[in-house]
Amino acid sequence: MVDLSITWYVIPLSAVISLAYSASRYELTEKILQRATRLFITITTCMLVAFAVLWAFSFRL
Amino acid sequence: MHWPPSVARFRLQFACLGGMTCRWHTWLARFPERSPMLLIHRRITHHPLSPVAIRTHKSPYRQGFQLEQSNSTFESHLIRCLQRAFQVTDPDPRLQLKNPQIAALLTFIIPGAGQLYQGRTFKGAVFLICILGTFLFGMQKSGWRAVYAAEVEETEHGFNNVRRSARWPLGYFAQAGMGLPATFALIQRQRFLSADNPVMADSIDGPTEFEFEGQITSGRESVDVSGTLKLESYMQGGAQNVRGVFSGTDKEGLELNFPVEPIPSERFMASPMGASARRHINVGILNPERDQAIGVLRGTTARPLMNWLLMPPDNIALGELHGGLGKTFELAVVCTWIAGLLNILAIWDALEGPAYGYGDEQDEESDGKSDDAKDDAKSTADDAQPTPATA
Repeated sequence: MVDLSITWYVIPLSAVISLAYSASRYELTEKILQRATRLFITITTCMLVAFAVLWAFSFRL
Repeated sequence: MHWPPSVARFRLQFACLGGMTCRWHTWLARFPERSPMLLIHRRITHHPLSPVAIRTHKSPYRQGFQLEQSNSTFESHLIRCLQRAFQVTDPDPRLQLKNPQIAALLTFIIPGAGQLYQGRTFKGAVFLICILGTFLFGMQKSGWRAVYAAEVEETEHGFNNVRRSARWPLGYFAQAGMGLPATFALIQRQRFLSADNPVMADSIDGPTEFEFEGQITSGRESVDVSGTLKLESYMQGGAQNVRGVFSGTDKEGLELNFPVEPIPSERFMASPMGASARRHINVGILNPERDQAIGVLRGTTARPLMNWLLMPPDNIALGELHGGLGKTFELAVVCTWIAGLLNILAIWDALEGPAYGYGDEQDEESDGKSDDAKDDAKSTADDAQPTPATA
């Protein structure tokens, strides 16, 4: 059984990374928030896909 | 290909191979316009791997690139091509970096402080909350022991001979982006490895009193106790020995008072400086009438804050950390790595400005495309004109 409790920390970490990285790329507040949101969605989507693949491979193991 | 200004600047600097630079307008002036050599070089300057060198490589947000303008149509066109190819922009007056070096130093010490110094409040707040918050979260989760500048291994080489070796942990170089704690961890590393912190503390300098918590073990029985341990050194047969007295109570409140002495076959006390907030002490309980050990008193005493905060852990302390905190410790350490690496971006932002641009460059891109169309139309018209015959 996968221990999900520590995995949930990935969400705020992804948000922090997206925001800090986008803030270092642009100056306009709207642009920073827009790019940060896009990056956050990209990161979480990729991680969800990875988790789904791993879950599928470990199904009924 | 679109290159961000910061990347373009790096590539330009890298392209100054061996420190050689060339003045384009002077060199190009040797060749007549529309010559094959010029066309080849025009093609080369559009390529991202072009070994093009430009006279100055300062940040566009500080002084801007000083590409020399020329009256020649072709050279002006070439300069515009270079600017577009490497996305070099004129200084943005909306962004004032003030003293970028001081801003970078402030950000290195405290994330976001440099941006606040420059008046970029939103960014400063973002870096302060995100980066510093992540770092502090990691430190708190790890019991303030996630950052250390050495991994220490203590190995025994015979009786009473323990040697200490230290190596650099790779993770420290990720945490090094957080200047203040990383620098302090470096200082603590030096203090830990100095002669003031012996591997085995078998003697004490003078009468010392410790607050003590531990267990009395006699045979198979053990009792939790707490109290005060007073120790003093004395000379016997030319050698320095230690003896002391324990005064305290057990869990039920029963008062205890008995003499103690180091156990010859065990380490008496841990080093004065270490990664743990408490320092181990092992002494034998003496029967005063027969002067022989009747039990063992093992426990810990508190270390001063400066003697354990960000100190390098030995393998035992690391084992205790991993054993006690488990995956939480690993998460905490990763958080500090992430904070350190993100602070490098923040330092770069304080020093050079935003990497990609202000954020409203979409209008400039569409202007650039229309300029491209005009230039292409002009060059087509130029090519269509007949070449004047030479005398």
